[in-house]
Amino acid sequence: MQQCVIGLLLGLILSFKAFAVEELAFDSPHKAQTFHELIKEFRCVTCPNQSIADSQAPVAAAMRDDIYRRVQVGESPEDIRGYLLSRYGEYVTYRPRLKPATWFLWGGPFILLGLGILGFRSRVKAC
Amino acid sequence: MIPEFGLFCLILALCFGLMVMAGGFNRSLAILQRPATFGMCAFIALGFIILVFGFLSDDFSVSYVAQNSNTQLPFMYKLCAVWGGHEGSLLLWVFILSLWTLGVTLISRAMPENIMRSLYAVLGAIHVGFLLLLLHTSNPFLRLLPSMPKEGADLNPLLQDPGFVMHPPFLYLGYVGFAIPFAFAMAAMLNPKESFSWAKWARPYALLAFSFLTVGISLGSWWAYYELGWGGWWFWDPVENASFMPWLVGAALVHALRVSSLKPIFNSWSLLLALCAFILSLVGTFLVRSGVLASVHAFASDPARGVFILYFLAVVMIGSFGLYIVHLQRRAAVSRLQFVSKESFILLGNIIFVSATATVLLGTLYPLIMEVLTNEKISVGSPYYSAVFVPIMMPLLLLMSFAPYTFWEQDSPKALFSRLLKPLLLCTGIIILVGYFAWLSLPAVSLAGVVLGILIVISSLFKLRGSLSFNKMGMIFAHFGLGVAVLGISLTTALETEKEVQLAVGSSVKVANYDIAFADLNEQEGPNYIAKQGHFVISHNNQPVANLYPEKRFFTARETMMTETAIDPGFLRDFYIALGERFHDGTWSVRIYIKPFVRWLWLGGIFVALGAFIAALTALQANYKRREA
Amino acid sequence: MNINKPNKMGNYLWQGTIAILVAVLLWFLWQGLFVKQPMTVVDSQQGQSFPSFTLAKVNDTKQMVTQKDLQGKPHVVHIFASWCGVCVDELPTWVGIAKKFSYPVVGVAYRDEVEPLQALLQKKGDPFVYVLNDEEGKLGLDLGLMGVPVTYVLDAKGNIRMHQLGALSLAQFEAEFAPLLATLSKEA
Repeated sequence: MQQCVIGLLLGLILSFKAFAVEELAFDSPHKAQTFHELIKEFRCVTCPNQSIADSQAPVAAAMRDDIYRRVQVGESPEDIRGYLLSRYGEYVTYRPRLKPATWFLWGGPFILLGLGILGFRSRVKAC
Repeated sequence: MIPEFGLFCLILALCFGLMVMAGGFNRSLAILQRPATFGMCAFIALGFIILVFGFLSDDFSVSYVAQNSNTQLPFMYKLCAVWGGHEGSLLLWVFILSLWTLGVTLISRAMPENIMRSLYAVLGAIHVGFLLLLLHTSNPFLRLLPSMPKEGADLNPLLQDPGFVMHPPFLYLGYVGFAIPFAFAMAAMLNPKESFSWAKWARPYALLAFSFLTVGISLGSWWAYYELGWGGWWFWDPVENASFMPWLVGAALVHALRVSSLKPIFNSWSLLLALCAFILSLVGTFLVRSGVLASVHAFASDPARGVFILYFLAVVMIGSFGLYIVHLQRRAAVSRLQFVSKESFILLGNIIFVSATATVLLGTLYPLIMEVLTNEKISVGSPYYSAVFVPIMMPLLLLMSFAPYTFWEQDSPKALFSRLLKPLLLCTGIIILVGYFAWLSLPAVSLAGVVLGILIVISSLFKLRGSLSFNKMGMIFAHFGLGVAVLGISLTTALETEKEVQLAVGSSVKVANYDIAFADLNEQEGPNYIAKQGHFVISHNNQPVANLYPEKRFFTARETMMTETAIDPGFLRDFYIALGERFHDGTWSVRIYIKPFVRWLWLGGIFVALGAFIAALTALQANYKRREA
Repeated sequence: MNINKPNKMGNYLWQGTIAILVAVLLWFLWQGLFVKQPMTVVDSQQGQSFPSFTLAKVNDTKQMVTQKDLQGKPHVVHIFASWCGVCVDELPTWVGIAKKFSYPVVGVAYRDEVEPLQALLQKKGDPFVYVLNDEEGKLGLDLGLMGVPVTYVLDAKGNIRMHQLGALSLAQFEAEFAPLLATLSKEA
């Protein structure tokens, strides 16, 4: 029984996608940083709510590999974002694009704070 | 038989709850309220105990027990598997609500009769709502008979962890606790002719709830850190946000109540905050259980449940805010404040807290809003919150460093500055030192965070001079704690190192200034799992510094794999190693993190909770003394 | 402290704002409960050309296949993986489809490995004219792949005419795919 379970254990581990993931080496620390920032920005589309940095899913790994290649080659973050967004739509990025539909998202809190300060000023003397 | 009795207990509790509510409408029934409340709480407790008994006795005829437990599950986890799924955690919610209600009932005798009537009625109504939800859509005592499984499906391995024992109870103690200030606010609005200083009475409960919520959130963050294996401690996940929003409003509330309990100002503002804190808790309950938002934490979603919770939420929102709108009609003239005064700075701080809460709410709901309005799917995550939430909170942190030094009612900038001179000088000295060592290696935002954190910590500590009351101690602890947490967050996000490598047993790798060697790999057996355990040795300049034993566990019942991270905690840095996948050639993918100052985040949280707790006890004692006089 | 007269306008503003915010919030939460779930048949990629690719055949890694090889007549492209339980369960269905219909079914293994793939096809049958190995997942990314299994119908020009997410049944193929393929064959 013991051996069966260990065999199953190993079998399950080994059956994961496992072509060699070399230690990700970068030409420069700047590229390394860009890579790490970018992978935190994109959503794993097959997971409930994780970034591709935090996920073991195959699609997430494919995206990480692709971003790694593009960063090494020297593509700009904007181009990389553009590529993934054109293929997956805006769902894939955790940083919502700035467009009329999201103006309220990005600007709303600051407008609210501004209104709050105005309200504060009406309550307070000598401001 | 026993599970049916458990269900019957809940039904009885519902009946008692209705009785309590009736007392609110009919004066002659008011005499029943107190005993009915005791009855309601007793039967809810009994129902809860019966469910616990079902888990401890491996009663797999009960569907919920079968889904969340297993004969091999260790005792402690069987106990807390009770709140491992939707039905049981909802029962925990009601149970904790009944504990709070019991507490208020036992302590509060000296309050005006009408207020007590309304208080009982409102709390009773909330109980009734949740009991109806339980009985109608989420019965934890559903049976699987006649085909009862011999073995349960086991508790989700992710939850088989000490953190899980404590995280949900503390979290619920927190945001369920905001029901009490909510009930006080409602009672005050329902009885406008009573001259009742509800703020004084509600304040200790708000502080207690805030304290528990702080512990709950800190525990959740700490648990996610060591359990999930990616070194993160906050993900802006909808469920996390659902607990963070009541915390933010709760922080504003305790400050507003402080002012309202001392002076006849901010009454309407405190009422509004008290209503919002609990309603945000309810909104959070809705978001987590209705399947409306995708989250790793969310319970199995069921639109029927979502509809019911939404009805309940709508009744509470329309009822309470409707009452508030009527209250505004009656509102007396508001006085103007001096700009340089404690009241004014607290108000300003409150405004920032509310804006920050609105930010989190907007970010959490926006994917839903977009989908409803334009049928487009978007995601809102860390990059958004870092860009919007953080800048909004920064002025608040600055305010925190000097507001405690401001006098009530009227102060002058010169006098304030002279009081702040010594702490400011010390801060400047420290900042120059820090700047000398770290100026270029920290990004701007982190640097700002570090400066603000130092300001808050030093200014809080300097407050220890002079006369010390318990209330003041509470404030100092809480502010000090937040400063420490801010420092921890700023430093760890800027200075952490991460490396993912492929290692064979026997090889080593260099990360930052440390050598990390993969020394050994062997097998371990647990009560309901089998594991492969690695042994890593971390050395610095050839001196061993730490030994870490990360594992890959295979849980036999659910046939799932779990990563068990290994952490060497330290005051100044954490070492963190997680095993990834094993490759054909026998090498392992290993994730290594070095996280400086990450513990300061949770340490700070503990101090905040402690400070709020001290202030709560002080306020309770003051109210109690007042009663005896 | 100066005392203001009760500010009527300010009050109305507060009252109105609160009422509107409560109504809006409740409305959105209500709508959120009934948002349509994503359909299995995706319309958004209709008419787009299949992305360009160069992948090796699993059984003969020296032979490379590109998107041009998919032109000339209608094809069915089925993306799957040996590590995906649903795909493995669905394979016999495809064997049945290949027996019943003569349309060429091209298999694309997503981030898979040669050995497990070949073992799977030997065990459960091979309905594909050939299987390509999208080892790095690049084709998947170009397609905006969100999971496997996925099935595409391409016309003779290499444009996507149908895109189905998830497993399908023989009955479904007969009802939905076969008529489309028949029409496309006539067009070619």
